[in-house]
Amino acid sequence: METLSQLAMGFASALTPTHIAMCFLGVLLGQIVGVLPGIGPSAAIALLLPVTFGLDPASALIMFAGIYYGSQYGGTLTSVLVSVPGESSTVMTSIDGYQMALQGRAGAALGIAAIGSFIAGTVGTIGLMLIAPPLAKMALAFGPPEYFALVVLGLTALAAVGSSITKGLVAGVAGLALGTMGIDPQVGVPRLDFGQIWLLDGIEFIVLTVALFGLGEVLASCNGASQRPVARVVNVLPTREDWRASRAPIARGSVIGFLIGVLPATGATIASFVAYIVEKKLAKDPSRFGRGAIEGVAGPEASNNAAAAGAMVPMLSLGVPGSGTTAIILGALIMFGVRPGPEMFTTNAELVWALMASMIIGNLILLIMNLPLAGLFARLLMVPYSWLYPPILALCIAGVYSQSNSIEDAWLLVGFGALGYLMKRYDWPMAPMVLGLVLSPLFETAMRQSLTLSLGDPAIFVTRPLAAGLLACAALALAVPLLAALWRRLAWKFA
Amino acid sequence: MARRVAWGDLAVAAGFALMGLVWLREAGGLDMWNRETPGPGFLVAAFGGLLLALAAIAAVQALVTPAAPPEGDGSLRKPLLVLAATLGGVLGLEVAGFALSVFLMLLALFTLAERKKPLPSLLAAAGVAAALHFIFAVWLAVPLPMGPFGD
Repeated sequence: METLSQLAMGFASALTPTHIAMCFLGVLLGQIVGVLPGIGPSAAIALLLPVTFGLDPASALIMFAGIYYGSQYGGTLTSVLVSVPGESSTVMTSIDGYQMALQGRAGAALGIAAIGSFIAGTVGTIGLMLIAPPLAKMALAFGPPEYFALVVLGLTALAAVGSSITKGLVAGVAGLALGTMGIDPQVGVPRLDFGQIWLLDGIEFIVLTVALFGLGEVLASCNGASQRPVARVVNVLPTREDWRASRAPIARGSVIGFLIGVLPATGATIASFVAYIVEKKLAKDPSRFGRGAIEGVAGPEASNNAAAAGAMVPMLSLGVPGSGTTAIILGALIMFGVRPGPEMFTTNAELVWALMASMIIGNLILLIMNLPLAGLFARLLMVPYSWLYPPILALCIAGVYSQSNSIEDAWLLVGFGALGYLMKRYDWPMAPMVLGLVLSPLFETAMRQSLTLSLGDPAIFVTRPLAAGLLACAALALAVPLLAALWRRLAWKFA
Repeated sequence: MARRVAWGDLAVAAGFALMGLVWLREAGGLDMWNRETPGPGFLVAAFGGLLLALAAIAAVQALVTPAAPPEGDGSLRKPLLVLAATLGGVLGLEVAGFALSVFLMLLALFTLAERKKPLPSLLAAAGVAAALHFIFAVWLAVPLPMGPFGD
């Protein structure tokens, strides 16, 4: 009952003209960045951060969330029409979606993807409404040791997802280390300022994010700035047969995606992969997969959209991001003066519920936009990247400078941009670095408060059950991929 | 299986290791422990040490990778050109002002890096510079550097 009344409050806020406009703008931008090459939702949110300074946090959050789940829709277009996934979470869609396009059924693939995404996005949002509040209530019992353990879990889980755990951990610790620059939060001593007054404020989240995800991405993508041939889109409404074949995959994909999305740092890519494998395993004729099976589009598409909603659960209720993009949204919330985590449901209840209500509205807008306008969005694919990235660079400079009208921030943009390029080129994950910087003050405060409470005894982190449990989860997040790799190596050796 | 050195990974790991060393050196001048609580230098030292250790592990992995992964697509020429143009744009901010500096950067990117025709490049560069000036300087009232055009 309480949930319903709070949802009504959320809808009352989300249905104001400003919030509807921000929701529309967010999903439209998300759709566009999902289609355009070389710019993903993380970069789009990073680039828009400076423009949103004057907005209220709810408007900005609604727009950022819209970009996040809207990009999942947009990524589908490139996967189906040119077999180039706009987002990593739509890689699985490209396998059968592109085959359908080659058979002249691009419209059906996009239509079922849009419908599946809408259903899954709505299911995921309802799941978010049901799970996040009780989880946050439980987490209200957290003290400094639990917050410390939570930050450790968030960082290790995000670090463990990439191609190399070591690289992820290095990036995460580098972010934490960057967060120690500036004035010490407890005793006011300047640290790591290298004699420069402007470094006393530390490194701003926005500078690092725009540099890594804006400039770094552009530098990494500018070599492939060519135009591609695009398939025509007709008849986006699925036939009765298409719908019959897709119903169950959409339902399964919604559940799989949401459950995987809820786990910290797993995200939409793994969710779509699992959904595809499940559909192939359950199919009467698995050989159809890879040759244009509509179930191979419906399942993964439903799954990646449900996962985007699921990733919001740990971010909103615990302050631990479920993906790289939610890590940036988390940083944006902190920038707006909102502390993500359990208190959000009591101190910023209207904001949280407005966001969740806006996600249902946003999914509806996306469905309406995608069925009749899929062909129009497909034309965006014809815009060469060579015309896009120079303005993105100019926006990076303007955005970073406007953060605190500082030329030094613009210098940092170039330096961190070069680092971002190297990290992208050599497959070092960047999200843990941003998350490390964002969570560094919380990590330090929680650790120092915990040790003050325990008179310097570090056992406090393992003697309190909740903190110990969270640290055990962090250890598992590291151990499971390591053991799996070891197992594969042994199996290969003895095969 | 032949082992190769992943030079790119090694370079990035070396950079992070250097950062760890700098953090460790700076921590030397700060209080580590104050009665029962960690001082301002404690985490600086801890992160520096951890970063150094992890970067060393990453470097060892890069040295003994069984088959080094392909190191990105394309040559370094264009990314370096784009980075140089961005650097030029930032350098020019205070000298020439935001609008002119960004206009010149965009023009250089369109014509030199992308080999676009002069007129469309000129129009696109002018349009983007004007739009950004309007959004940031006029709409958001950000005091962007004006260079010789300011007071």
